[in-house]
Amino acid sequence: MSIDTLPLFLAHAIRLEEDSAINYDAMADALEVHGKSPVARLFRKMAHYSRLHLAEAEGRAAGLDLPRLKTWEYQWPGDDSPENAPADESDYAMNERDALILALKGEKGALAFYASVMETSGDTGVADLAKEFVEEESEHVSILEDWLARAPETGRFEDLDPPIAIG
Amino acid sequence: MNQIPPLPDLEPADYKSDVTPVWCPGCGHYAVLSAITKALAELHLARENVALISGIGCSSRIPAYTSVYGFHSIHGRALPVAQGLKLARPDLTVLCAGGDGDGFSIGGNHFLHACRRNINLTYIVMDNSVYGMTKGQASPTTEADWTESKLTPEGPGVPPFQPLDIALAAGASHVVRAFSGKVQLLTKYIVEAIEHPGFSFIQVISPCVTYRPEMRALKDRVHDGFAETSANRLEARRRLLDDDGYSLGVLFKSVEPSYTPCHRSGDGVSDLERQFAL
Ligand SMILES: Cc1ncc(C[n+]2csc(CCOP(=O)(O)OP(=O)(O)O)c2C)c(N)n1
Ligand code: SF4
Repeated sequence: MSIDTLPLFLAHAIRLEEDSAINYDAMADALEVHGKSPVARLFRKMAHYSRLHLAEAEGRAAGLDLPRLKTWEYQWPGDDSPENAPADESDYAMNERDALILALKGEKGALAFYASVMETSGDTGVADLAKEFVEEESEHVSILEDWLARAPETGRFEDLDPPIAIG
Repeated sequence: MNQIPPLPDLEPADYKSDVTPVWCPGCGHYAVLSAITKALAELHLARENVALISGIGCSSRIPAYTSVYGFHSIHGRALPVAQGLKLARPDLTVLCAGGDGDGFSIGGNHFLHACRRNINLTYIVMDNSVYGMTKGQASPTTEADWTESKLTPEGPGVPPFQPLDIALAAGASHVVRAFSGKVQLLTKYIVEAIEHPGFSFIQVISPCVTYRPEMRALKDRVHDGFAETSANRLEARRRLLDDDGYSLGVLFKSVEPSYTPCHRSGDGVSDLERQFAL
């Protein structure tokens, strides 16, 4: 992977934050529909933070002519947009601790992506901006780790009529 | 002279409706919805020129979650409706979606003939190897020894339906296997399928995390076994001989004649009314 121009890098950063906000909102919606509002609130908060970062990345991109990439042309290290918390690991019985663990995976994914751009980009301007983003993402990771350390060890939601496979 | 302004570019979110999905958190179908909306945005399709037809099942709820035209039809009957629509309105982009129960069990016969007719539409089967909506019974693609349903405590005991092989044998002209956990690839496959001038079939492995939670582990099993596309039907079928069921990619693609009805010019609604008059 090599992201060597500022417009290309910012196109990635913008898509990463957009995808992350949409993904967190979808996870929040899914849990709300199933009556798990406290867990949903955490994902909603994460979506809000992603939108703040999106605005920041868009601000940096003001005046630049960003490339229009197709969904599959982004140079992500894995299968999905890197800050997307793994929605497939969520389930209706999850508690706030479980949700924090998934959010932490999302933030660590973004951190790893920016760190790899910082290390591999052939352009010093891109590497410098990636370093700034690495610092921000490291802060988010520490905050989430702190929340996780303080999150109570509550049990999972007790389903009195569980689906066959889980019951 | 009045100029018609160009259509604004739509974002994937513009193709979503304001109805919140009721799917279980973690269900693979969310990713399929995401990929469909991304694909429609990539193709810059006007919402009023797209129709998404489904049958019945958790997966078949999908039209309600999009802002294109949709029809949540009858169990197993999505393909006849979609084909009828495409024949009547060839100008529309017609997508058809549903589950493995809907498409291969009650709708299995329609699947065969839709492949054979090769009408230009895209059929997406969200295959979770279970009937999710009716609480976890075995489906046609369930493994013979899956014992988690009380209805089949010793497993269904019959070999699973082979969607790709059957699609190839029946005449589908674009045959793909995808995984819901790889949204970017799935988006690309949907774009290519819509662009293909014939019947495109995409089997999307889409885990039901509630009745088949073990399917979560599939993300470590899928691989790009169909990285190269064949234009030769026999060769594509041969490649399935050692397929483990987790190979992803465009297995087969070939431009072949599509069924076109012979419209009698001049037949208007009043002519049809006359034909039906007793
Ligand atoms: C004619 C008819 N027979 C049976 C049913 C009951 N039924 C509803 S959905 C469904 C199967 C759904 O499974 P699938 O199509 O695999 O979709 P999923 O829910 O797994 O996404 C069945 C048998 C029905 N609605 N109509
Ligand atoms: S029952 Fe299964 S298929 Fe249906 S919404 Fe839940 S996880 Fe998805």
